[in-house]
Amino acid sequence: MGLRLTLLARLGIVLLCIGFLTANSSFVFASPNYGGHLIVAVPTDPDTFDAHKAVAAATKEIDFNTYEGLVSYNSKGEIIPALAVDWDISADGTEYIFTLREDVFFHNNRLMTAEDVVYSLNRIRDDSTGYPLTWHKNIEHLEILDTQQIRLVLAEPYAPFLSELADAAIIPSEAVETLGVKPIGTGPFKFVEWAIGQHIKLTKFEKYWKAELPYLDGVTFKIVPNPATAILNLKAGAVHVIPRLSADVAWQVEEDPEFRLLSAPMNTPQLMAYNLMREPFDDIRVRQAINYGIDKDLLIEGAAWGYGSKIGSNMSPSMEAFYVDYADYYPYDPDKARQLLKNAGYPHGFQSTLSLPVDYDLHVKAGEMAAAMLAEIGIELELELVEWGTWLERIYTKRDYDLTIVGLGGKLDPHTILNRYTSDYSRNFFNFAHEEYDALIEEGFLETNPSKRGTIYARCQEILAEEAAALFIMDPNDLVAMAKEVNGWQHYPKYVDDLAHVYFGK
Amino acid sequence: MQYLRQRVAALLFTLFVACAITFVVFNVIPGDPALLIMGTEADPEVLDTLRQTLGLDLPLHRQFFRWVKAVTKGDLGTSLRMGQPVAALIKERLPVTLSLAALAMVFTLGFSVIAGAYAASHRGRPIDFLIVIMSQIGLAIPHFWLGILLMLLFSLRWKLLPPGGFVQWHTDPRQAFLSLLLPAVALASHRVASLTRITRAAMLDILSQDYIRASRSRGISHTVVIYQHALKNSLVPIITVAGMQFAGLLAGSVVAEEVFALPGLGRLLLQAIGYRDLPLVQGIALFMAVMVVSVNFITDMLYLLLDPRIRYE
Repeated sequence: MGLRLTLLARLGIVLLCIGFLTANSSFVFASPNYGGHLIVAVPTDPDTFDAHKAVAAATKEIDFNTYEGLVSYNSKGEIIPALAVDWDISADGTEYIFTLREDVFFHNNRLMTAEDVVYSLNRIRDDSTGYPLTWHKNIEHLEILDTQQIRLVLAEPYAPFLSELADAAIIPSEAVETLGVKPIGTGPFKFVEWAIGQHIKLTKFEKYWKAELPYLDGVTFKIVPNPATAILNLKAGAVHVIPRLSADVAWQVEEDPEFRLLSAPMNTPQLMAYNLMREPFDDIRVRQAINYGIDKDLLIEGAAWGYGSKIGSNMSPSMEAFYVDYADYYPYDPDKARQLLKNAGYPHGFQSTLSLPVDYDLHVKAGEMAAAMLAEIGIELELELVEWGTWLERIYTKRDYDLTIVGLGGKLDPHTILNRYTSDYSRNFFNFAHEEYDALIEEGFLETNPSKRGTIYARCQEILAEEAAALFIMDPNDLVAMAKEVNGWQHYPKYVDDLAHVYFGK
Repeated sequence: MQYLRQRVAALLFTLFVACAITFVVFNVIPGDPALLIMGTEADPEVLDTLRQTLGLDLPLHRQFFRWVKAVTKGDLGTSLRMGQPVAALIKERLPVTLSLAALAMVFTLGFSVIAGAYAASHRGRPIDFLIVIMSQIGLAIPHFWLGILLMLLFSLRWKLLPPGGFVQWHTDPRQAFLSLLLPAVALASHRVASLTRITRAAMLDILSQDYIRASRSRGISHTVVIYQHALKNSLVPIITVAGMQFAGLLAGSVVAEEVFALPGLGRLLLQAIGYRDLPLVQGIALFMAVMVVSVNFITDMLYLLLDPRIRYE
């Protein structure tokens, strides 16, 4: 008996080891292959390739491969060195000294200098481009210390500064006139051509400072507006990758062994906003009732085919360093919801309007499901479909709405994510006002100690959940469908495609 | 000559009205181009700077007349979102839209005139019945659905044709033609159906005329009667409808372009509207209006050729 057990145990250990080795070998020991041309399907054209003017997500996903800033971020959203090897921040958090890499070439084969860095940062904070980034006013002073060092002084400490600097592309001044149609940066791929409405072609930059990257010889972004057509293209071998695949068509590749479907949180929390200036949403009991009245698991299943992570505050689980799990703060409980409505003076519920941005199918579907669930507790919602331009103007800017569903995100710093709930913030379309919250955001903004920032933003998330500031629904998953020979794809908590690490393999 | 002068004056007036209406409607509907460019990240101060850069801070009538003035000098302006000249953007899309429209029209005319005439000459027989049923089905099938179906069969199953996308004529004419084949068929399906019915009806009308019976009694062969006498005389209503169809095709087919990932004018217009890119919308609207007006003009001229009784005074 004892012998048999030992034998079984031994066998088990051997099997485990084999499993472990094989599982690992495909990951660690496989050396990526060089070569090949990858075709990626994207839904729309970029706006402009001038990295300092571009705002469209469709542009940034491509720009990530051609432009770089002093710092960058990895797939976890952590800040990593890029064109600067190193930096020192003064104790009071206002002075930054960056040491630049010495071996960086632009795509026009010119060596990058400290002058280029200063030129680029000055161009961004200069209003004359007409498209200033929002942080330009924070930089008070900018100077070259020596050939490889620059000094940057901020008017006041600003904790999210580095994460915003990651988006500040360093460009060569001589290329600035034609940058919009012929981008020149320092990234792993250089621009070849842009056939509007058809494709954008990039080729490997041989002088890239990370000598081992990229693996691919080139990349084509093929513009395919319709998701069903994109899937047909993938199946016919006309494209290799579809990033941000719509969950509606995911079933077509889910079960097919020829393809792979990667899925990870997108860092774009979806929420239903209450207009807190309007009755009855100014009453916390009503907001809590709505929170209890929605079965989020069912909603995620129904609207996103299950491809989403349940949330309970305005933070995605992909923000690992700051995320606190409040997903079940208000578990689904229709009886409790009815009771809360009754306490608030609405024993028979009430009527209201839910405005949905028609351009975003996921929000429309979520809205339809939410309305059906709320009808069960007596809240009758009239669904109003609004076009995105109208949504931005009437709902987001003029705050003329009762309820609306939207996804907000793409940020790497908790301050820039949570700042929108401060009472004096211009884009606080919730009309949320909470003294402690305002004070915490102010404190976090000046705080550079990571663990203290963690505590501050944890409390902020808690307040949003306690106050039921909105109905936080889910962080939808970023789905990427690809041919099975494509390897090395990494999800980022931002809307970018990192192609430098992608390679073709068996 | 007098007629021509009147025609041109009416044409210019039509264009002006079309542009004015586009401009007014566009400014009445909500949506601010600067907001759409900046999205949910819009900071009020940044928005103001952007509005100034884009010239959106001017009063409306001044914006409009500034545009009209530039157009008379041949300048269609610059796209707000893409920062590129509107004329260049339209020119780039034109080969796709023109060749797609032409191909779809060849299919439509080629098929429907023959089928319609054949059905009329075999009135009441099974073949007539079949053609009528087919055109009924053609009218009922949405062309985006037909497009996806065609792609499934020809691109995925039989791997004969590309699954959407477009190759420029000058890079590879054969590929360019192949990439337009399926969308042209999908676009034609609907038009074939209606034009077949019109051809059939027009032919039946002519065939009941006395002169047809007279020609027959004089012993002229059936084929000659049908295809030379009857068909030629029923061409006026056919050309009228075909002209309208062609003008519609030139305005770009948003849905077919979207399904087949073709970089045509329709998709450009849709995008421009979505981003409230006024100069681009105005430019395309003007261009399409010119197209429609010219096609109508050519149709009118064709009447002269087809029916010598028609005179324009």
